[in-house]
Amino acid sequence: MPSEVILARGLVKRYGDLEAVAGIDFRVEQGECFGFLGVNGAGKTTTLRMVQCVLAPTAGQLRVLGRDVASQARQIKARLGVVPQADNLDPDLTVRENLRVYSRYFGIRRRQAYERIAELLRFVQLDERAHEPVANLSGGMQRRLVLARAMINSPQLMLLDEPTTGLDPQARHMVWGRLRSLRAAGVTMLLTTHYMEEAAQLCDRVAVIDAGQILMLGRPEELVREHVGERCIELRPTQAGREGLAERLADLDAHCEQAGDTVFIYPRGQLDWGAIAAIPHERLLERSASLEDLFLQLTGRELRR
Amino acid sequence: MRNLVPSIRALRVWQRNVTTYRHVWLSNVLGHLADPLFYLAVLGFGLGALMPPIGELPYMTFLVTGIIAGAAMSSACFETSWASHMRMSQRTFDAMLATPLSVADIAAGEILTAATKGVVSAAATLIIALVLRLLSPGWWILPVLGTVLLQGLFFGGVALAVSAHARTMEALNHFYALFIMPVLFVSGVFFPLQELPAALQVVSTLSPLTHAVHLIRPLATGAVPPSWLLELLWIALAAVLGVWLGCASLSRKMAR
Repeated sequence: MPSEVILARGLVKRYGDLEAVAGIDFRVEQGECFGFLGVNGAGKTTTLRMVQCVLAPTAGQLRVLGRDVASQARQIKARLGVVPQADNLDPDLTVRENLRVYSRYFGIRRRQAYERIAELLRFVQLDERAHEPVANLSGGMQRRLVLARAMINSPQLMLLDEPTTGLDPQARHMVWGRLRSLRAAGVTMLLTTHYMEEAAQLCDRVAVIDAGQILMLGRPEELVREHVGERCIELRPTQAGREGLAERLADLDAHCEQAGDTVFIYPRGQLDWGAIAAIPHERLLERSASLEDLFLQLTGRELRR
Repeated sequence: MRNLVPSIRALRVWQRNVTTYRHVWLSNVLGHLADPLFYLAVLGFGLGALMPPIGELPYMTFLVTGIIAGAAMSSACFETSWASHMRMSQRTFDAMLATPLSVADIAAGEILTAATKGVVSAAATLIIALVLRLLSPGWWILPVLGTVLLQGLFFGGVALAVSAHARTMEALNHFYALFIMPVLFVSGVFFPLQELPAALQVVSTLSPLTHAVHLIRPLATGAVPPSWLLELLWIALAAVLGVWLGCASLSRKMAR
């Protein structure tokens, strides 16, 4: 039994002329949390849906849990837990019924399901809402219920498509906490996100994906150190400060990027703080470089059309 | 992934629909009773007063034996057109696909639900007919409900296929106007087929509802249906076709 849980080689998904996934290679190891980072439309969800065995790859090889997605979808799906991008709880059912009905899809027996459901509702702190219709739950609670539902079959691999998009910070941290405890229990995870903090909080390794291709792959902190550096200075110049800005920046021993009205300065060596502070500005701050900086550098700061 | 043969897991989908049915059973039962009652009141008491007996059957008896199958067809069609479309748009099917269920299992479960709704509808009509003493109780009820179940697989499958192709709920209104109503009128539910023009007779012969009525009307009035095996075979073939059509259409839809 190979140690990898997912193995993709030359994976392609084409819709007519559009190449949503343009030949990617990656492998996810047992017990690892692997993240796909990318803007909307980069191909993250398409990749995830192929791993989930609901979209057939156009070309390439894709093995999940040691099986081929094309011929053994049912066996793979029995051992997966899926948290989709948009909540798809069953609005016609109560919280508890949602889990019970789902457990039947996996062929879990009644007695075993009852125990598992009670345990899961405690895990996501919804045990007191068990008999309410899902419409009564807040967005954060619905997300937690989706997470509980994905765990009903004690999956070996969890697929999480933007697990905390649209949640308030409190709800997000609660979900992250739950996911970390899953990871600690040895569950392999593949997640997509466009929140860099989420990737930094959860992922052992990330792949930055853009236009259907993997631009970069590795441990988040190593990627940042290697490609961005340690520090970042954010500078928002005033109207006056924009005059001759390009020349002033060119004199610095730093790599500079502009996004909207803000300049991001990544120093290479000693930084001439005097020269920067001399630029008339509304805002100036120094912080540690993050995955977000890497991501913006790789995928371009300008908004996509 | 493109496997079109449903498995026994389809029953889990059916079971899910039954679970939701428990929350809304009262309005559903009332609906199932209202539909046949409406036809009986309007056509039976209104038009029926002017009608001579048809063959040996009083018009009310003729009518109610047709409505058993007709009402069952409408509710089967309703289930996999509007209700399935609803479940599709609320992503219930997407959630199911993240489990060992295949698209064919989902389609078959939905069609089975439609056929079940048809049986409930037919049973409701039967109860009305028994209460009004239009029919007398007997073992014939079982083969009648069996026939209704079988025709429900055909109509449920066709309606699911339509639902899978319909982009909007509004498009489903055409299905009602262009399919359900015409089939209802050419299948011998309300009047004998001899009265139909020749072209419509052809359509009528194709319609599984016609054959269901050919089985149900004699059964319910104490006769053995003439050439019942052929009629049954026709409905069974249609049922296979319907299930296949539903599975194939939903597969196409969900693969995108």
